[in-house]
Amino acid sequence: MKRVLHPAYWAPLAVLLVLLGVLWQVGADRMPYLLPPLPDVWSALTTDPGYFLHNSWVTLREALLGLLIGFVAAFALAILVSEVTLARRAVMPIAVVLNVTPLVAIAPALVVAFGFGSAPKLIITGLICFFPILINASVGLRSVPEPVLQVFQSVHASRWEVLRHLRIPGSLQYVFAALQIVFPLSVVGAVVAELSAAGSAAGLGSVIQVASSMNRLATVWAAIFVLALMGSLLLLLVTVVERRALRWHEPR
Amino acid sequence: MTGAAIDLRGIGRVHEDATRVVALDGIDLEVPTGRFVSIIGPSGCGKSTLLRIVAGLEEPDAGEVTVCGTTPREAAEQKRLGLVPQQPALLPWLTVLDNVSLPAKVNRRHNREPLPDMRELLRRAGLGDAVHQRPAQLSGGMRQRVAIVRAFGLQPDVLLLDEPFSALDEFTREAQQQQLLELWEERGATVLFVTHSILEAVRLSDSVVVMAPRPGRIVDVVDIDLPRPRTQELIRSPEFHAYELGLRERLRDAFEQNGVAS
Repeated sequence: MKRVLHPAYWAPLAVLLVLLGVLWQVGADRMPYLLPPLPDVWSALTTDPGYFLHNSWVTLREALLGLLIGFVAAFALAILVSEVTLARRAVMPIAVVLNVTPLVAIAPALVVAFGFGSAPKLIITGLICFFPILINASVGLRSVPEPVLQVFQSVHASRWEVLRHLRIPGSLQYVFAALQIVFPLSVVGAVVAELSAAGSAAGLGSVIQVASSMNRLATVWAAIFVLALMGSLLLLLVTVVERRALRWHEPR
Repeated sequence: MTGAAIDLRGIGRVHEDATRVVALDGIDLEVPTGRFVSIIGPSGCGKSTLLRIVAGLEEPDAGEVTVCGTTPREAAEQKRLGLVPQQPALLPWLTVLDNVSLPAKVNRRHNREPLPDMRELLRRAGLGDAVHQRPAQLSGGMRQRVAIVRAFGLQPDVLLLDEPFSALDEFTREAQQQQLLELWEERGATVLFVTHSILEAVRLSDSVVVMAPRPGRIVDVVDIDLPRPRTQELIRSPEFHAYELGLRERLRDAFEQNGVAS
């Protein structure tokens, strides 16, 4: 912690932020239709904090619920494909194709199918989180070194015991690497879904859409800043949890 | 059940890869119960393959393997085997105590009661202070000792070690050999020990099996008639050196038969 408080640590960032702020203000002054002045953004946030709080909560809930669904599905499938070669051959090509298909393109189709409720948002968020977890977990589950497997084969450990005692704990560091990617990504999924569901009731994506159609740039940017903050906090959360869970991984 | 803990008859094994190298050919070997037997030979003579066959990790293409009167797989199922691979193969997220206790938590039905007190066993192996540490905090020698304690912890009838000390420096290696012998003399087990060190083989074994490559085969079995415990004095004795020289010669012969310059 001490290191973080030292000026050499935070000063470069602070200087750059001030510089960017000044550039922003200059830009906003000359091109008011491109950038809102920062004080306007601030007052958009503070005049109705309840509005932003409510919509942030909606987006956050969609993001986390979708992430949970995606995680459970991806991890279960990772166990299946790492245990059964036939399943791997069948599933992985489909998963890869699904991954390269732009989810932004699928979103409107899902909205048409499932309406403006939370269902399409959860599906899209789940899908966007699905692939990184599937890939990392299935690599992690197969990362147990051969000699370790042989030791436990020589005492006739069952498949379930190998999975439970060796493969799943061994996959955790890979899974956490995926979570580092996927937690911020879940917010992206939720916002994309909200943007595609024109007229959906709530969420920061809807806030952005409504405000931009009415040319209220300050509100749009306020929502963007809130989203950036949300993503950063989620990333911080995973990092802290990872440090605790994988303490063994650090040398001493 | 005969007096042999391990009985190999006419074992043949061809590697399944593109080379189709004959890894083992016509291996006959009988290891009596309670004996410490080393297998020595140059790289590629199939000594590790032989060990894996005894451990039930690999099936021979010809011949018959009997371990404690059953097939290797059945012996594994009844938890009669202890395996120490070349690397310690510990789980980095578990403490030393949890690492050595894990084999007793799998295939519980066949645990041989009563199991030894693992803390006591670790203390005896000089790991008393390391019980709650993780493998990353230990030296290479300590890690390998943990792996050996893990194998002894199930009271196996047959202990299989695959060059367990080959990655260690000479001083550590000697201390490890000493501790292995102490544990073995106390706990008793039939030991099959793969090594490429002549000194190690003579120091540890009741008899040494000499193997040669292409095809992997046994060229000699040398009984080491030296008293135990094998003290430092004994290691410096002329009798000990005579065994070392004899083995060295047998190994050189094994090379020359293949037209390989040594």
